[in-house]
Amino acid sequence: MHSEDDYNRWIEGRMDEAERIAFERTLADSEKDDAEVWSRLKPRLAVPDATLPNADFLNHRVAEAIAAPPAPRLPEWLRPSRLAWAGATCLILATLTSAWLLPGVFQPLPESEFLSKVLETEARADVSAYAFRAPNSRGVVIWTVGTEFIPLEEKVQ
Amino acid sequence: MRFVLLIAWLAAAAPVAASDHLWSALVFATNEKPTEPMPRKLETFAPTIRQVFGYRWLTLLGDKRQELQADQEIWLVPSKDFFFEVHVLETAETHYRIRLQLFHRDQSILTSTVRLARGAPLYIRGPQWGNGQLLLVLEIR
Repeated sequence: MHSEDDYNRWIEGRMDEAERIAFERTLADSEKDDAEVWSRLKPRLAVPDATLPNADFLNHRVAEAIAAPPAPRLPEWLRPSRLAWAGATCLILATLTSAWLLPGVFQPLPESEFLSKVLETEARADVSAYAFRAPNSRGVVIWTVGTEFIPLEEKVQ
Repeated sequence: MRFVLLIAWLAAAAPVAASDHLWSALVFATNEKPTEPMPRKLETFAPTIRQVFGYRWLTLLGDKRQELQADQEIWLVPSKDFFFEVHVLETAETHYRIRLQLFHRDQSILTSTVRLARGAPLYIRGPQWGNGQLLLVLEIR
């Protein structure tokens, strides 16, 4: 004798394969009640010669299960976990491909790349100019000597 | 899948293409405390200016910011009296190679070719003005 819960789990597909086969074998002894429901249900059974028990609630649940449209299911490859794995795999592949084809992208640049440098300086005849690195800085200085003094009274704007 | 791969590839392989600007400023450096506080724009330069030129107080007389593009000539006019003509010779991932000419009114003071890295300023010692020094600062931003 099965409980109502067993029947519900069977109809709703919550039994694993072994449990389902064992359950349907026991139905063979039950009395067939609703011929129409039974004829629609039978192709779904794992045990083809099983018969439907005479139980109102079961007929009702079977009818409900058959009448209810199947819930829409996403294709297997659209499941979030699959998409997440696919995305992570793509990123890793892109990174590895880039590292292989463009090794410079992932190698730290030498410090000199981030320093300014005066390559050439030419001042007018009465001015001398020379360059040097600014201490404790990435910057650079051009030091001029000989530019004319501007009195404070003269406006600079 | 192909689209995701393409996007990831482009993101990894695309060169740095953000537009940079060349900022220039005319600064008056002195050891006499001015009436106004130091402008925030000059705070990052103050330690180097103090160490190199020996002045503690800075006043911003003018500044100008101009977008940089490859093989382009621009006029950079931080002030009416001191200004630059800049020719962008080369752009790279970390720096620009520029040729600049500094003018004081209608007279050229110097011409220089500089490899200017981002955030690594160029300081030019200008004429002395009263009890202080005029400085010109250029920086890629």
